[in-house]
Amino acid sequence: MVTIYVNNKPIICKDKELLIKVLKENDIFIPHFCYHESLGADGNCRMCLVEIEGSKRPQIACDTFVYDGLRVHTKSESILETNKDILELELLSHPVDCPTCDQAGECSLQNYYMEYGLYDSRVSVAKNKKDKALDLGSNIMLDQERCVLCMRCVRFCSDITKTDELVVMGRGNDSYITTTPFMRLSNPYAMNVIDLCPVGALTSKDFRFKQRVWFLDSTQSICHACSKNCSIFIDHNAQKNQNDHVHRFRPRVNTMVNGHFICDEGRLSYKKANETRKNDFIMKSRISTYESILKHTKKLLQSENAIALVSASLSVEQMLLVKELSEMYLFDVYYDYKEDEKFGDDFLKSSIKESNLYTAKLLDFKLVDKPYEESLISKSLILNFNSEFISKPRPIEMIEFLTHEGKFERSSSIFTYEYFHNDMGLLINSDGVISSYKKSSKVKSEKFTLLKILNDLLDESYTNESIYEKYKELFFKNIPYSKIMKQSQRLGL
Amino acid sequence: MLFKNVSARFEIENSNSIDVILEHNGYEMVKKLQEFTPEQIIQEVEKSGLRGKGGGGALAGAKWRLLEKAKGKKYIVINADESEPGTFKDRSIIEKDPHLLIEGIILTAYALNSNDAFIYIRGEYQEQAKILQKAIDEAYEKGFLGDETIHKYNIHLTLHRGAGAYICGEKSALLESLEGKRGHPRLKPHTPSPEYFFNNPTLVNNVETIATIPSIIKNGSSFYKNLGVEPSCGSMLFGVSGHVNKPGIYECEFGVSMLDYINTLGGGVKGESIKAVITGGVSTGVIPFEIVKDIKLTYEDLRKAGSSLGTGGMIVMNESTCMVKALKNILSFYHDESCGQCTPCREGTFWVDATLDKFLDGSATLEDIEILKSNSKIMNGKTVCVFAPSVSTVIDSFLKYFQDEFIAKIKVDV
Ligand SMILES: Cc1cc2nc3c(=O)[nH]c(=O)nc-3n(C[C@H](O)[C@H](O)[C@H](O)COP(=O)(O)O)c2cc1C
Ligand code: SF4
Ligand code: SF4
Ligand code: FES
Repeated sequence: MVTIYVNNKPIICKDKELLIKVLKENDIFIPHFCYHESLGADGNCRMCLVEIEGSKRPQIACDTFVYDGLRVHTKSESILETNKDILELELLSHPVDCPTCDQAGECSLQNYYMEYGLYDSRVSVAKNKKDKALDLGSNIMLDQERCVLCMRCVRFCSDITKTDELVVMGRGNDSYITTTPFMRLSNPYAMNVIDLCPVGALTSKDFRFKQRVWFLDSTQSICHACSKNCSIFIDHNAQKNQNDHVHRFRPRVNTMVNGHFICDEGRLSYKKANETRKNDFIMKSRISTYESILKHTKKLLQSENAIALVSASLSVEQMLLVKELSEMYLFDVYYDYKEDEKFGDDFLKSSIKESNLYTAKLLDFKLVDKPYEESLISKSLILNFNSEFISKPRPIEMIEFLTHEGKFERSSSIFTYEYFHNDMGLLINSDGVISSYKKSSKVKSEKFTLLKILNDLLDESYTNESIYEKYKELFFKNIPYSKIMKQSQRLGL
Repeated sequence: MLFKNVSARFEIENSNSIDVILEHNGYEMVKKLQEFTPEQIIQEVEKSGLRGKGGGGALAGAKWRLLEKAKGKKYIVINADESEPGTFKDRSIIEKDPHLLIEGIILTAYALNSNDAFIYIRGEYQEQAKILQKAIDEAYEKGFLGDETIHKYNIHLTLHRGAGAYICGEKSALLESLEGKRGHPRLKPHTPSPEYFFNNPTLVNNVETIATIPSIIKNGSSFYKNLGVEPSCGSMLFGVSGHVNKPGIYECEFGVSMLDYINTLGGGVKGESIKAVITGGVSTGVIPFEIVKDIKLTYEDLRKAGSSLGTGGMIVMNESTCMVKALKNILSFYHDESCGQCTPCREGTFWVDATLDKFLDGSATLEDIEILKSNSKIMNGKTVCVFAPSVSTVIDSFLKYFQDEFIAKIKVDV
């Protein structure tokens, strides 16, 4: 560790660390466009110039490595002027169409202008015109006039996905981003360039013109589209007299799981959160009440010979309560899962689509196979916990716990419960990393959580925390609940 | 005044043919290659005081030593991108004595333990590329290049044509381009280090620098060191163009007077008088006659005058020259050629170019002088490569000596 001085204040940091990283980690304002933690430095935007004592010229913080005693100034008069001048140049040919730009509110140009600018324009030459609203593929729209040519998008496609669909063409201020000749942007991670783009040049066709970002509430969650469990933000809001609506998923940085990115399929899986079943309770094809179906289920559990099938996407806590229920009423719990080799890759996408298969195995639930089919013959009640693999071999009593429309609407009894986007819980991914997803404090729940329903069936009152704590020694290497709430933890394979 | 070292064979008829130059001591040092150790050659170059002729004037020996010490497969790359306006010296070597360059390349490669060399030639040099390729083919045929050479050292030489970008003359952009990428200069290393070609240590030297090597090895380092005035040792293919009667390339020792050079070798100014001279390619900026008359052609003298020797290509302007138009001409070039990665350079060259249009169409105001100055300031010392700082030097020099002409273009409302 070494000590450096930023604006005369000492900061202790790792030797030879990149200065811009140290500044950002210590919340010291440092304007920048081209540097990004996931892509490293490129040094093209020149926004991050700082003054280094002993150096004749200003230096870029994204290409300066710290050493003991380094003295940096980010706010000296000359640096502030330099930063302002470079910002002025970035805006030289900018269309200033913020009122119709989706990036407004999360745009670095806007933010820096507020920081340095609020100056009157000195520009009296015609702006350089470029193309707008270009459809690059993969839901991505490009506005070349808003682009600051930071090359993050190009570097993402060359360094991260290695698919090289984006290039810079032209020279000087006629440079523009476009797709490589004869190519479209078409890799499974393409939409990450939208988040990487510091300005409104790359926007999502799916999200464009739908919402102003300052009206959105962001909730820390986990993508449920495969067993990688990428950390995400759910951006959602409730408009007047309407239910909460999810507008997008965005990657949330988690170095233990997904780094800075998520795949496009996971990103677009937000749509499933808006397609949940309406909040109803069905008993024998008729609308009923929670209380009566609860009573009905308890009675059946006591009298019938039951078997349960769980979706391997249930949370850790949900599975633990199913386990408790199975021990109370002595039934076997099965799970099933899909392997999609075409979906999986060696980056983030896992071929196993169920997000918590690890826990299903850990709790010793049984895999659906021949014995399951055979044992069904002697059963008189099937409990289905949101599994898509459920089949109904013959007219048989069935209780389903569902988030979305089921297959047997007309012939089962159904508990509707809250989908993950409005719930909290823990998941363990295919690499054995346990993570938590949270519930927004701003959304009023209308549906019961599965935890509440299972508690009622058990006549218990476990919380997410208490049920986890009960089993943490047995299954979870004694990792305290509070630690997982803060940060993902590795259980190991 | 004329001193013929590199240009010694330029006047010979068909001097670019191998049969002709073999009768004039061609490949003499290469034939004796095994009489020298690589270390001897490096030491001779170090002792000679030879400086890079591509514009920077860095000591060639020190650069070679960096490569010699580096680990890994080594490459030699010859910079024949010559695109600096006012500069056409490498072209004359390629046209009139390409085998001298090839001989220099073989000596360099042998000294630095490299078996692969490239020549990166500017796209517009179509004829020159043909001449050079023919010379390379001849050298392969005669056994100077290839796997089984008469001098017992394997060396392959490949000619690569650029696509017409000035910035690809900057050594790291050149290497990016040679690697098949877009010609963007790289961030400078933090400690002295060689260049890298596909992550392998690489030497980049100018055509003329390498074409000088055979004469140093033949005549000894002291011969070269005694030419010129230390620390500007040796001779250079200075060039002159613009308002002169005999534009061309004339080799001289360092230290001759700029005015004598223009008057004697360049045939004197066309028109009444010299108004100003761009000293060594447009990037070095302009100096007015009062300064020109006392300048000696050395790195040090030109530096003292606030300019630099650059590529040695002088552009002479007579009294009829409009300095606003001259600057506009240069800035259109820079605006067109900025690679576009650094914000100050990408936007600054455009803004200055567009502002100069205002001076020419009569719509400029006093504030536009400030726009020129502030852009020059933001382009200086804040970018990846020295393209933008050069633009800054040029703007500053025009405003320093000829600001009156700019102000005269401003129409004042009365
Ligand atoms: C914008 C720019 C353009 C350049 N163009 C050339 C060129 O055309 N030819 C050249 O030899 N060097 C050029 N250089 C200098 C090279 O970067 C490099 O220093 C040189 O090739 C090294 O060779 P030398 O040491 O033998 O001079 C240029 C530099 C800059 C910054
Ligand atoms: S489109 Fe966005 S990410 Fe790509 S270069 Fe332009 S500003 Fe940067
Ligand atoms: S200074 Fe200009 S030419 Fe050099 S790297 Fe930056 S933009 Fe390109
Ligand atoms: S962030 Fe450092 S130059 Fe762009």
